[in-house]
Amino acid sequence: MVIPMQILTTIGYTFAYAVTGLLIAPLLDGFRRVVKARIQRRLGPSILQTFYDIRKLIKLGALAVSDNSLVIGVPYMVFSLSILVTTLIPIPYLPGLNQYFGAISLVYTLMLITALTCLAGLMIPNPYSNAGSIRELLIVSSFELFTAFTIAELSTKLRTLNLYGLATSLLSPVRYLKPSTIILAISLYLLAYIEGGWTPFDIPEAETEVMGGPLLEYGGKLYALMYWSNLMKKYALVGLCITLTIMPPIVSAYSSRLPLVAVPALSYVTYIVFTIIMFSLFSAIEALNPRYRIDQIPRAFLALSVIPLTGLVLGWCGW
Amino acid sequence: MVNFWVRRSEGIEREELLRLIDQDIAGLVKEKRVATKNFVVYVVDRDKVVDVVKKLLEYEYTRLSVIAGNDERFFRRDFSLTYIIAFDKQDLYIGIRTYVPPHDLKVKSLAKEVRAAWWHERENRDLYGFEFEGLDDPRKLVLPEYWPENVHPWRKDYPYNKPVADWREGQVDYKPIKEDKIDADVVAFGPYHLVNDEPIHWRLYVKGEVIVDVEHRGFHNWRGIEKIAEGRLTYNQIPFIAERICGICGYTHACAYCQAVESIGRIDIPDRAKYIRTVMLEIERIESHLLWIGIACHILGFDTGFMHSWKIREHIMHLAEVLTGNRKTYGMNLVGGVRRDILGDRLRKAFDYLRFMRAEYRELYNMLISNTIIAKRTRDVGILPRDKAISYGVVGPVARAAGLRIDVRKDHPYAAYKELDFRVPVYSESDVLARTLVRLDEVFESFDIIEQALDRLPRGPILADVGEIPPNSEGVGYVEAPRGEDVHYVRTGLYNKVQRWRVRAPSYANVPSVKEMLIGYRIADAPIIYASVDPCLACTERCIVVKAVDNGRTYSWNQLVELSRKISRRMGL
Repeated sequence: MVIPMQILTTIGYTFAYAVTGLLIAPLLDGFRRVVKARIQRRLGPSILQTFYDIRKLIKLGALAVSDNSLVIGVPYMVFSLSILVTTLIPIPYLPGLNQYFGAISLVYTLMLITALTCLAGLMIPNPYSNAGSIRELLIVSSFELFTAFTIAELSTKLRTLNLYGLATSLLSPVRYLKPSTIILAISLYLLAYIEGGWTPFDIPEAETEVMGGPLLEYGGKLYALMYWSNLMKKYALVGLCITLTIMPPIVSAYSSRLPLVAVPALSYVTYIVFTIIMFSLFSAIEALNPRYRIDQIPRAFLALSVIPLTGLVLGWCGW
Repeated sequence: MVNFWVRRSEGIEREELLRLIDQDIAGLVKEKRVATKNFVVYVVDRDKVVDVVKKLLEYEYTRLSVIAGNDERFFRRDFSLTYIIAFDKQDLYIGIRTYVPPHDLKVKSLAKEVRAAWWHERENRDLYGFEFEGLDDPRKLVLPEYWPENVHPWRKDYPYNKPVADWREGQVDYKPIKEDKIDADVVAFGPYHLVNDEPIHWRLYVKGEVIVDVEHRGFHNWRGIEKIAEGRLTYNQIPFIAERICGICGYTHACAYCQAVESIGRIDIPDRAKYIRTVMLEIERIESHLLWIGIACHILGFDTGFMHSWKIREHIMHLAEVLTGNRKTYGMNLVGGVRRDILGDRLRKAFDYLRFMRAEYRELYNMLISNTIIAKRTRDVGILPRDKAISYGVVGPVARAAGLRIDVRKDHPYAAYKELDFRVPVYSESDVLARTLVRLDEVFESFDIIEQALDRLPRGPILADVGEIPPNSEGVGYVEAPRGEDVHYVRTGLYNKVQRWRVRAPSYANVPSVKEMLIGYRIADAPIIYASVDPCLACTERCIVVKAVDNGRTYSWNQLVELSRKISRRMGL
């Protein structure tokens, strides 16, 4: 039996995406720590510190307060789904699983991660864990309108919701030199920042208020999986923004001048470089902001929803 | 019913006020004693004591500061309770004392009407066995649950070193009093919580995220250090143990204690010592406020503010090291003055430090007040209404944020404060933001005070000749600590030792009011509301643990000198 080349390529790229996600997410967290440390005028830890932390946690074995199989199983499920999310980032010229997934599937996968985390958090007999889970659900439900408008904006603008299709359709320069595209980019970055749970939106886990919320009662390997998953989610959302905003003009600029074989590699390198830069920028924003209080969030999100809605209207009007 | 602050007292001189008080309580008083120049004690019958205290609290700018119990059975076969009331605009403390026979320790409770009495009555019940009729809180305050009901450790016939291990066998768990009566979920905020550096348990009854009621259990670290000092340590040993009550504002404790003894002994300390005390007290205030600012930022998730604040705090601790040789716990105070002088070359260095720190602090201040999220998180949060602030007798920045213009430095001037020019920041909103702004503003004032004091530092001796301290006399020492009024009540005994020493730290007055601040707000607000009173449980619980560790190493004099030189070289001195 001969396996078609396209399937082999898809499997290969998907594997590369997964490995990249697994390795780069802790590395980016290292960058985040160093950037924050520099803003706070301290040396900070090594860039590899997150790897050391994860290794230490894994060595401790699986620790959880409950023997409920769902509570124990959720970190594994969340970890698997987070790897899946990292494979859906549509880097131009690197078609993997993202060819077969749409933006809505991605949103649902992300929501499934949240739902599982909250479900486990609510099953754990700890009021802080319960409070954190309820906060997470409140944030997701308040943010739905913003997410819906952003996806509508995407589909109106690019006439597709296929993830890889989105990235490649933006390679045409005429598409991104419009006001609606700029608003779309802003909406996407806001989505990545808020959905990624960066301060001031890290309310469900807020250490000083609910001591980690749904993650509070996990320890050792189970906590490592949840922590790693969270990092991958952050990375995937930033990566998605990079591929849909910064990458298209850059890749389209050099793809026609280079041999076709070199383009995927260069595209990958460009993607990694910009992801690090954007992650560092997000870290700087995080370092300069205190945390919102949970009741301040719904109103803030409602106000923010005006941004993608404006983009949607402008897109309809052809601007 | 107490009509707090209905009678004007501002602008009335001390003597005139005392005359008015004499008229008010004529017929109720059995005896009047002028203990020190600003501490007057009235002795009344126990069935009149509550009425007299309530009468005095009708005057403006008065607070129930301390209720000091005492076992006076060896003098006059009775126990005594002294209700010390501060008159802030007359530089006056009035003690209302009642004697209670040992076989019948019943006294009417004041706690329902004057919330400042709540903890004091419970403490005196635990430690001396007083029975406060009408006190609606049956729980122990300072003693653990397993402690036997009929054993009261501050009675003079209870040995200070009696082991308590045997009683732990009958361990009784803490029983909250409201849990069965409230239809709400319980969120345990402490004893160990991420934002609590010291153990305290707030039992939050919540509906959703909203707090509907609160219970407190603290004093996990209470050690009764006053008992250790009473009858064992000499007057000049106590400042050192007093300074170790707190790792942040220990100097204020040493100062308050020394001032209490100095007032009893009519000792006028040298001007230079007064200025040195002022400088050290203000260094401590800056250090404490910067620590608080950092913690508040951390609680709000703003670690950049936390790091910047603590970085400046490092410099102020460095300055303390330059001036005293120690970053903290300076060991400077003695009854009659200070032990170490500030040398000329170090003065110049201090001015350089202050200039640098002021610029750094200005940057931090601008960053914090321009941050809209900090304002959103703290405005209209944790409001303590003015009437409750008065009833609880809150002090320091908590009081000044509630519009109460009280500051011991201005109202009861001590050290060199009378000769220095400074402002007392007051806000009226009484929320977390107002408490934050009071502290932020106070740091600037403290920089000014230190600069003025160092600039005007008089020449001369630093320690007065201390004659004999009269036995069986009493006095009150007070200092405006970073968290508010720190009061030390001292009664002298025989053989150069104290018979009774009562430390009332500012947090002891402020922490009970947190209950009022929390109700109606959210779980998310609880940490910053609690932190907004800048609670110091080491002070509140008078905790000190001396762990004698013999590491088998003894330094010779020369080695100590060499070590000091090494540190001085490191500091560029």
